[in-house]
Amino acid sequence: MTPASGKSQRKHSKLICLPGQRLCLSDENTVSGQGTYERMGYIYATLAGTVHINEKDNCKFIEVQCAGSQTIVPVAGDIVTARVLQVNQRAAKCSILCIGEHVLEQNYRAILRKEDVRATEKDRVEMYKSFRPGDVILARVLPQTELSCYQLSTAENELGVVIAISSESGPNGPPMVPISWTEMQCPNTLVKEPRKVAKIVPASAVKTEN
Amino acid sequence: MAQSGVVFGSYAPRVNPKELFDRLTTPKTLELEPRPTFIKVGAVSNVKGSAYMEYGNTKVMAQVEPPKEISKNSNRSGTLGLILCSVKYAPFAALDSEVVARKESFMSVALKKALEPVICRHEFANFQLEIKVLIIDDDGCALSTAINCCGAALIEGGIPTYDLLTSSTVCVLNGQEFVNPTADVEDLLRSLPGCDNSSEEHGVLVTASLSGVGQISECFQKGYLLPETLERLCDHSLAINLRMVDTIKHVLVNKVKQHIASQEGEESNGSDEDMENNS
Repeated sequence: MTPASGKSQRKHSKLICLPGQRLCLSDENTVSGQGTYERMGYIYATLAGTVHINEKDNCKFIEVQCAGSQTIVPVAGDIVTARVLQVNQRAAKCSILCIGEHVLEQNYRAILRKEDVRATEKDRVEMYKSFRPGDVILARVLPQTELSCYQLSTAENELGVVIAISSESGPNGPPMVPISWTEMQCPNTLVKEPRKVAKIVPASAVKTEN
Repeated sequence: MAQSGVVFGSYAPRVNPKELFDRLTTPKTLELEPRPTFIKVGAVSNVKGSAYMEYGNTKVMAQVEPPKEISKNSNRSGTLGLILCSVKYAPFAALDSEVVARKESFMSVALKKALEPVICRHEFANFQLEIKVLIIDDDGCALSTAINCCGAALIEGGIPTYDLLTSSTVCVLNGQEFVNPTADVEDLLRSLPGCDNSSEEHGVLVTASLSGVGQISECFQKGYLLPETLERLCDHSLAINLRMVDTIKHVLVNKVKQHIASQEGEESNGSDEDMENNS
């Protein structure tokens, strides 16, 4: 595959590439994106899949979309779906289930500290009124300071509890309905429970940091 | 066979290896070709990265486990992921149990060395990737086949790699070069008396190379070889590696094409419905 053919077929992106294949020259306006690496002034693929060229701010981002699902691990800045396993006064232990839309085969341990639950009034956060074991939450991965444990944050409107079941209706009960950003209600028993509720928006509306 | 009194597959040092050597079919011309090869990626349906490979009569299976976090107590620092390799012989691959244990351990180490430079390990900082290889049938070249198979399995599993990895085996015995030696040749090589002050060369060489970037990730040599011989064997092995790349490329491109076709199938079904709605 020559650089020229890469440019002419931009819209079709039926360019198949294999790891180690030279894709194009690297310069100020051509950036090596996901699934590629840069070496000696050229961009090479690291995955077997199709080449995509995204143009943004006058720059071309060369990316390789993996055929099948790629093997990835959570990185700081990713939005992840996690399940709350344990809650104590200072933190909640979670298990990361998905990164974005990618379902993980292996669940990774993570911790959500009290000070990362919300952006405002951090000192008045009560963990038991924000999360309960079994809740499914959306959270952002914080830069890793401690080895072998991810730190999560829900300090954004779009992050927090997504699915929760009222403690009275048991594990098979219906999921509660959010009624405000701090409360959810069970549709059967009409019991209200406090939670740090996420404002559900399309994935594109959540700002990406990386 | 029985009347000669010596059999292949036993591992005591041979008193008279000549006798066995004469029974081997020695290649008349040097052909730098890989053996007939069959590769199937995604051979294990419930695992993401797996491959099955037949190299002549040698049959190998490889699978890649999803990345695991490194446990807290292992005080390892660094930003590169850890690679763990384990090679196992299938219980029915009838070999001397002592030999199996020795082969398994040296092949695990060699495989790890061959794979480490090819995987983008910085993407798996603080994680460990475990790669498991099962040798179902060993008719020589087991290590090089395992390396080839792992290379394909890694790419199938969507693990970023710098290049395609290919590997091959060559050996010298009684002044005769064997390309892709069979199990009989390898057995004989292994059972030769270690040091008898003779200047006769014998040894085996396995190389693993990254064709695109032109690097050698592993050069495994065993036995007594002169530098010139080693250089020549290395060239032969690398030439076979280059031929091998085409096979692996073909398999992987087919896999990608299949994936695209299956996706397009879904999309075209969707667009057909749209067309009907419009009319």
